[in-house]
Amino acid sequence: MPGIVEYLILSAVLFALGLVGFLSRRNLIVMFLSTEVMFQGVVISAVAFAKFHRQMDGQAMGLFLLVIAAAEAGLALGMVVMLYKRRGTLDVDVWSSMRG
Amino acid sequence: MTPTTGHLLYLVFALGGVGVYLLLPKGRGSQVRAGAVLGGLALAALISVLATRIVVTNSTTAFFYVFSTIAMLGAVRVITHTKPVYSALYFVLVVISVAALLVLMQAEFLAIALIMVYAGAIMVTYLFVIMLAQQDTAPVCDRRSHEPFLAVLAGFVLMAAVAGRCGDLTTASGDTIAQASPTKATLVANVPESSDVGNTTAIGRAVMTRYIVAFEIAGVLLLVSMVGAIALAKKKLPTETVEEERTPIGQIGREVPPY
Amino acid sequence: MIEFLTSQFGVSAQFVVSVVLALVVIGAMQGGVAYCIYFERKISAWIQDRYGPNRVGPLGLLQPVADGVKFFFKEDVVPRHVDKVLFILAPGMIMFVSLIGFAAIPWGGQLQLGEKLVNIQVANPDIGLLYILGVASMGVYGVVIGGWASNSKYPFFGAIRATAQMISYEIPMGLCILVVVLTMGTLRLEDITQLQTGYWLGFIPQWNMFLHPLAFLILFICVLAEANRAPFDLSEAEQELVGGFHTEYSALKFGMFFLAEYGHMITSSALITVLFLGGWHLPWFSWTQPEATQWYAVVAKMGVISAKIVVFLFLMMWIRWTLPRFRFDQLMRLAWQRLIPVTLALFVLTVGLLYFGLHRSPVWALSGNAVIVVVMLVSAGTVGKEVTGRQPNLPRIQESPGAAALAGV
Repeated sequence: MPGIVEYLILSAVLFALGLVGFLSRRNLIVMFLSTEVMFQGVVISAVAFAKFHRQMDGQAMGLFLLVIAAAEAGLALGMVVMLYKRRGTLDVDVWSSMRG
Repeated sequence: MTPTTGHLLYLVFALGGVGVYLLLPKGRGSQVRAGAVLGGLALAALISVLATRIVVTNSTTAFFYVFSTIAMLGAVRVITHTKPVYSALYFVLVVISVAALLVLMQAEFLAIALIMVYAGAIMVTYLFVIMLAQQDTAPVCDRRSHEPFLAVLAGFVLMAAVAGRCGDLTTASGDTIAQASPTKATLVANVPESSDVGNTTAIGRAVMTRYIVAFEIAGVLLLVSMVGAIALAKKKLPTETVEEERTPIGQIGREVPPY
Repeated sequence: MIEFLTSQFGVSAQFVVSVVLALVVIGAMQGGVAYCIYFERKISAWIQDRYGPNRVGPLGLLQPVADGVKFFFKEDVVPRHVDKVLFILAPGMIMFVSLIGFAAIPWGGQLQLGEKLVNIQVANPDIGLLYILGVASMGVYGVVIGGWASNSKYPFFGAIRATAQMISYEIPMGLCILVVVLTMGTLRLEDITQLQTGYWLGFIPQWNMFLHPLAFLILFICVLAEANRAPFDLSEAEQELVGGFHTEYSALKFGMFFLAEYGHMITSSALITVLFLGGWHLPWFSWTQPEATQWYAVVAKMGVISAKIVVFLFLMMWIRWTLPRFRFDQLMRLAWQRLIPVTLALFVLTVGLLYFGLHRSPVWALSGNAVIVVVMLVSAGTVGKEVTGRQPNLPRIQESPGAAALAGV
């Protein structure tokens, strides 16, 4: 049976892959997708803790993570649509002119 | 110093990091093929490192290997694919395999909620936006990435730090944490096994009693983000429109001779 | 047979029954879908006073076979401009999704095998209802990907329309289903069926249809929209979009889109049947009560649930060949301005009844439904704006002298 360690390794891998994507990709939508991959990693670890500590807290946290993800996706996509309307591209570098 | 699982994992992650670095879109001269080979090697190595710890004896373990492999492959493709539509679809694959892993951990409710919320709602909306914002040729922002080396370094150092330490934990298999740590014994005694009440009932009890405040706040958060999203995306209708001279609808075409 | 398998391979009787049932249901489903197309054509012919297919076999009954052979042997065109991988993936995806929803439907109560009771259901998970909802929500991918991968404008419009429509109608659908879940207090479809087997006043079956008729009606409307059936078939409106999302498809791939639509209809009908019509329960007959667990009772129950599904299928086809199609803004307004407020009111009503412990009382539930209907009608009658959907900044239509003259003549 896979133990908690295996699930934690998997969740760390997913989280770090999402981080790599968020840091390196330039397309706004792919960046948000990468954050969603990070969320998946966190959900796995929360539920793994819930299972191996035999309590429901981790699963409740997973539910709240879903709520956060839904709220974030709604807002983020609203902003992406707005930004796309302004500049006609999804490239984040277009928005770097505020850099000091 | 004898090599432990953690040390092996560091090697595996270094290999995987190189693979992902090569796979990231870098315009001309991407070595995608080499990256795919290295990444595949790293994945196989990771699986075999895990396989030294847990041997496939029952279907749960087999499913764990299958779905975790799919999840990791999918995640790599999400961050490396040059077409956003494919990234989104690979992410759906990640969500489905993560849901399967949750089912393996007896979290059926959360698994199906994950599928409904992510695959059913969020990703469809993402696809919608990607389609609306698509351009004919792949834009430069999809073909080149920012500082891929530094990003991979940061990400994989984090991965190695967390997962490598996890790999060295002594509580290797099964639900031994509860037994290994005496402070947890009370928790184990208090919480019934999830088999006597269904998972849905159990999570409902947890959310409705212990986390009721958090639950309410989550509801408010959703409401606020809904209002925010509507306010953001609301198209500003032009307040004054120039009234064009239009032919009254009943007369369109009436000026043509035969009529 | 089952004793042999359980003793030799150590599998449980439930496992054997599940596997057999899965195979049988998928097989029956393929045949059923093919004959759905036949009946669709026959019914449309009756409604339009024609004969319909009557050349292949007696009464044209072999027409589905001929159609299948035709789908197989037609040239399978993959246009050059498409995104090949997704183009090929899409029909498989939509077909897969429309097939796996069946796993949680309770087909025939329980069967006595030796000392054990076995569910005539592929799986009876704790979350059966949510499983079906989750699978249904994946159904949009086939349409969206098919439309996008075709890389031409009409399929793309079809895909965009389908996405907006399915997301919109999932909300009232989910709320209607929540009304049932709150009333029944379980997500297991077998339990939901069994809870509906009693009687009120000794003769009215306790089906949810009599408890929440409004939710039943709205769920049926939403199911039509989710299955892309007329009058909600905006994403494949042939007068506007050629063929909608499957314009570029041909041969077997087109056939799969076609079959998936009917598969979706059958699954949704089965879901409505279980939620609101008592599933396999037929009142006053001892064979279709939950206590009857003999093999002939199981067969009778399967017949009952199939008959109920067929009634819904007929209703859907009847509607398709009778009602004209909505315009897209009307479709959206129906969902967001009418159905969602009404279902939210229903939801609040159910929560209130649950708080007072009256959720199974037909008098209270029905009077609550009646109040909602009255408020709905009054608000639609008084507040109602023009339903034509003309944009407000367009000039008013003037009575043209030419038309007046024509009318005068």
